[in-house]
Amino acid sequence: MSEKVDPGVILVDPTGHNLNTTSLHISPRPSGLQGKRLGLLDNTKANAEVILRKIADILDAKYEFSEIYYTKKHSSNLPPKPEVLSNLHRYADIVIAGIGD
Amino acid sequence: MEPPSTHILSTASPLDAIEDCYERGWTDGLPVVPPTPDRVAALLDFVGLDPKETLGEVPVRSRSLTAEKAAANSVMAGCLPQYFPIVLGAMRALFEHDPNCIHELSSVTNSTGVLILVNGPIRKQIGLNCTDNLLSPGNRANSTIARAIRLILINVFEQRPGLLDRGCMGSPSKYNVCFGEDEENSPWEPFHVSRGFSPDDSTVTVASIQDPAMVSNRYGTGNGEGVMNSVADAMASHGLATYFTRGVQWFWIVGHWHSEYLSRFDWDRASMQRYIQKEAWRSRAHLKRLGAIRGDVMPEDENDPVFAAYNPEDIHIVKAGGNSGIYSEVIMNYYGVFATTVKI
Repeated sequence: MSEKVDPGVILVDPTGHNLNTTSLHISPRPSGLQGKRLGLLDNTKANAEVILRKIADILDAKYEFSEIYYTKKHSSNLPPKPEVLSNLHRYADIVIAGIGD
Repeated sequence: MEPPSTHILSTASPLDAIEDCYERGWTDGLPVVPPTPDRVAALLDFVGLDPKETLGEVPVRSRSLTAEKAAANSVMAGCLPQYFPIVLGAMRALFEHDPNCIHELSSVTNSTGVLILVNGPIRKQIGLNCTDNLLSPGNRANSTIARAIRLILINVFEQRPGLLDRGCMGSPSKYNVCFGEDEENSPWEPFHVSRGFSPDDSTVTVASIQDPAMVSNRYGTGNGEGVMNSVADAMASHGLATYFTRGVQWFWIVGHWHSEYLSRFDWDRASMQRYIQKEAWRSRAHLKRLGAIRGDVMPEDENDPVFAAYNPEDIHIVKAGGNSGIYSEVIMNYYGVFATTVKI
């Protein structure tokens, strides 16, 4: 006796797909932190600056950063504006991006 | 023959396809209607859209919404073809506001939902609820239009709880809130007319919202001021007063008997907005003591008012709801998507 095989059902895929076809790569890591310029990117949440500054103080005591540059996004949920990003490139060697709610 | 690339062959039987959709992660926790090509085509044919047409892109997510994806998620939500223009209108309003707001809507820790307010003739055409149990389950149009938007956010833009959706407490408003204004029983001009549209236009207004708060005022005082004082008090006492200093907007869904009561006096939308805006405040000292504003309380803070709405026009007044009791609803419109109205 042959087995009845259910033909199944066609479904329209409701999911989205990434439009980016290029791969993203992480920037090269610095060889060390001593004397580097530290950037702090505040995500605008109420306690973001508090925690970022505290982390900066702890790391600065150990690595003696040559400069600490602080900047802020315009929105917690959206990427930084281009000028914020370009300033981070210009004034910092490493960046800590923070969320404090 | 291979199905088109946007189609998937499910090996489940038609009824078991419901379970297959769960296993694929396509649902909001409730069962969905399997998005078969014929059902999806019915929605696209109703509005005359090509499946491949791009409705909008969200740059920060590198994702776009096609007509076919919008239709598939609307089918899954349970939408009839005649509801689809409202789903499309709501998505268009979001894209026109700021495409990236679609990411922001669901990523926020304060768990905003989407308010979808419909005005104009389309309400009656599709049987949209504007009265009893306004914000409850029970009406197909209200429930499924709201749900379609959520499924689009989940499936097309990956706003999945715990991943890109970082809501902390979550919210029942994330099933989204869709209703029509009770224009026929309102003493004021319809909301969309106040926004510059014609009474015969059908429109959809979208906004990012916190959970609605019911307000009761049964005794009234003055010439309607008592009811508005209750609304102002509910706004100023909001648990998210921490957002006042960033600027938020508000919806006041005026319940039937509150609107009837106010109609006995000389209040129009603009005068009510001015009154409530002026009354809805707490002192900076009070908000500092609550931990809604950072900093030590200074003497001058006791007399420094922090307003729940910066401007009268930030208070959106809409008449809707049932007549079985004496209630209104106050809803914070979070600054992710301030009320945006488009014509359908």
